[in-house]
Amino acid sequence: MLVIQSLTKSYSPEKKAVDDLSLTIEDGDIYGFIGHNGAGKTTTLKSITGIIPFESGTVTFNGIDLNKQPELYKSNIAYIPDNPDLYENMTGIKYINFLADVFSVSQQDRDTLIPRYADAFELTGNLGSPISSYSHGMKQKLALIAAFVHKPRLLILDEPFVGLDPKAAYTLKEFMRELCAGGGSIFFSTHVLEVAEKLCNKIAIIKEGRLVRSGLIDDVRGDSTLENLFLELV
Amino acid sequence: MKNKFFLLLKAGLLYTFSTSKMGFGSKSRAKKIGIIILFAFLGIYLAAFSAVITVLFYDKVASAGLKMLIPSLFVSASAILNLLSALFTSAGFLFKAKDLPILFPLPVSHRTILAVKFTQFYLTEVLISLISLGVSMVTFYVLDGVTLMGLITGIIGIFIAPLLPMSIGVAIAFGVGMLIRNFKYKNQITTAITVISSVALVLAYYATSNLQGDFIIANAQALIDKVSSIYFPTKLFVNAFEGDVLSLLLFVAVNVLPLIILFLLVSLRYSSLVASFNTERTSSNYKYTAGGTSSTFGTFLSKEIKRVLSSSMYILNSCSSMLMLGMYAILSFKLKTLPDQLFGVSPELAEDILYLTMAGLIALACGFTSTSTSSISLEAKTLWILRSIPVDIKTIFNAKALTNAIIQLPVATVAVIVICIVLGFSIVKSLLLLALAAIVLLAASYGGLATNLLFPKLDWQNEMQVIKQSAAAGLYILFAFVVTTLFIGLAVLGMIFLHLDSLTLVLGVTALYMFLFLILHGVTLGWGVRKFQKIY
Repeated sequence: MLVIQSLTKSYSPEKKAVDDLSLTIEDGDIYGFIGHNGAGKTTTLKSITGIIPFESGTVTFNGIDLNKQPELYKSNIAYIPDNPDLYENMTGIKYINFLADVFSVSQQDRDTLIPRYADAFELTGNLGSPISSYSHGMKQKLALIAAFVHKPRLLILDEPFVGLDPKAAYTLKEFMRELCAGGGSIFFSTHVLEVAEKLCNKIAIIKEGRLVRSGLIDDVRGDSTLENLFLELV
Repeated sequence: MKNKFFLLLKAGLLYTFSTSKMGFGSKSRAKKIGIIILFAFLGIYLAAFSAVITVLFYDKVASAGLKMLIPSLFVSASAILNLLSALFTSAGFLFKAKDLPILFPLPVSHRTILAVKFTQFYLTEVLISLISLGVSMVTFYVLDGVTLMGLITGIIGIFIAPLLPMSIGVAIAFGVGMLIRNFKYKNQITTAITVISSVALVLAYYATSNLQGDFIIANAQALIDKVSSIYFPTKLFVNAFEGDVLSLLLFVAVNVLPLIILFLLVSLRYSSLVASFNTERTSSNYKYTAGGTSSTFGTFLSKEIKRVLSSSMYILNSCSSMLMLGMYAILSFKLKTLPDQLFGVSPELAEDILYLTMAGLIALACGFTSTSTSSISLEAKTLWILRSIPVDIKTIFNAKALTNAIIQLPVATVAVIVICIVLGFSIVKSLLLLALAAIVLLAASYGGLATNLLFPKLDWQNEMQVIKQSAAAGLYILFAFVVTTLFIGLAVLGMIFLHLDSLTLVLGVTALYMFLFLILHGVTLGWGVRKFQKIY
């Protein structure tokens, strides 16, 4: 379970990018995170993955504090940014093995999981090519494969469907559901409200750094559609 | 076109040379002033070096009436520096600049974009020419007086002489790049080709210029002819310097025309050439095979070593001091008999002086460049990976630091062994020099990392901006120079005032470097880790 308490992050003294944000993501949740451009979604995701420091608040996963035990915390999560810049001089398979080494994935798991996810995302044939030759979508797929191979308990994704072809998007949704069915959880940002509505069981809406609504999707939207609610709130 | 040209050029130059883009935020005014002073110092230092060399040469050749050897040697030396620079950097400017995908869709002709890129490239080459040829010409005028034709030739030479080496460099770099673009190990091949060609160029020039004074005087005309035969515009430059207007015009023509032709040819299909140049080897028939596992440190070390070896510009600029050390090894054959000739002191003292000198040169070479001065900055857009994975930052730092030592140590070891054998140092003295080289490399590894953490530069478009032009790179060179001067200076004082033998003195210098290494190691893994967490 990921618990974010009173997270505050500023890039300048005048304006808080994220202001006193609190959120709990329980095991099994597929939690959508929506908001307008510049609302603070990416800053929140980067803060809770340890990419950028934050001024105040706490972030814990199953009781492990991000700031106190960062390595233990990060060993449970995987993060994929909206524009995954990877090590261009590596081949795809080298990158997957690099992350597998970092997360201490056994050879047996690699032999099972790499072909499984690479085949599903139709990237196996390209894994021997340098990443510098990959398209945006291929990099996105590679980042997803590398993330799934180390079996994260929490998957944090920033706009994961941007750049993916329809089949890959469908495959990703299936794997997201599978991960959550196995007790994992997912927290992802998106601008595609239809995806959030169909895929998520919970949703959070952020506006100018502050959380304006969060909880079970049915409770959040009430009788309205998510689109209408979003337009009303932001 | 004119307005768009200047608009794009201004944007490009601001991006390249703006102090805020060199590695610190716009608010750090004190740091900005500091870095301007730093680069001014480096410029003055290099200019002073050119001036001193000119004065030394002038003393040797003027009395023999062969002073024209100076413009001859300096215009060819400047051309070689420009050629080396062009070989390493031209592809980055013209074909691999990261802003090209942004520029091509703009409503600006590709010829204008190419003109902007060529101008940016030219301006960096002119800086080299100003420091090498420009300073030596000014020094020459001061020593020898100024003639109108000499002044005109000198001024034109500074701004025109880089053009032919630029053309040759672009042609070679583009040709090699196109030839090997589909090779599996193209980065390693590029690195090998550029290292070999650099060494060959330096050795060829060394063979013609680094000679004893008497030999120079006795063979001055032959030397001018030899230099001219290697690089024929030299002869035109010298003739123009002596008043031949036709030679001056020909000198301008042979430099300018190839570049114009090259520009026109490239501009015909600029975007296609860029696309072809950046084509990657791809295969779509990979089949999964078990690759084996590695420890976290091992996998990071492998990543860092491959990163350095993947870029010829990175390895050549970060390990160029190993070329310097290789030159010392060659030079040691000439130095073998030098103590008695030069110092006129007892053989024991002469050997002490020689040993201390070689220790100083080895320390300077091993400490002068480090791959770690840009290894944090080069992460740039991939920094998110390091931050989001469960790895101790110290492990990352140790891998980055050790990479520098691992890459440079084999070359340093061979060079030091050659030096020791040729100069006949005892086994103890030889082992001490090897230890000194290893410890200096370690100190340089962590010193470079600390400098990069102090001035990280993450918003680069061309890796050259990090490797060559960043605040960290400049500051590190200054740091290495000051440290070496200080430590060797202390040893010299110990020799003069305390009459200590060279073994004791070099042992003391080694201990000082060990102490420095321990401090830098502690600083990097303490303050550096905290600083790294704030970089984004």
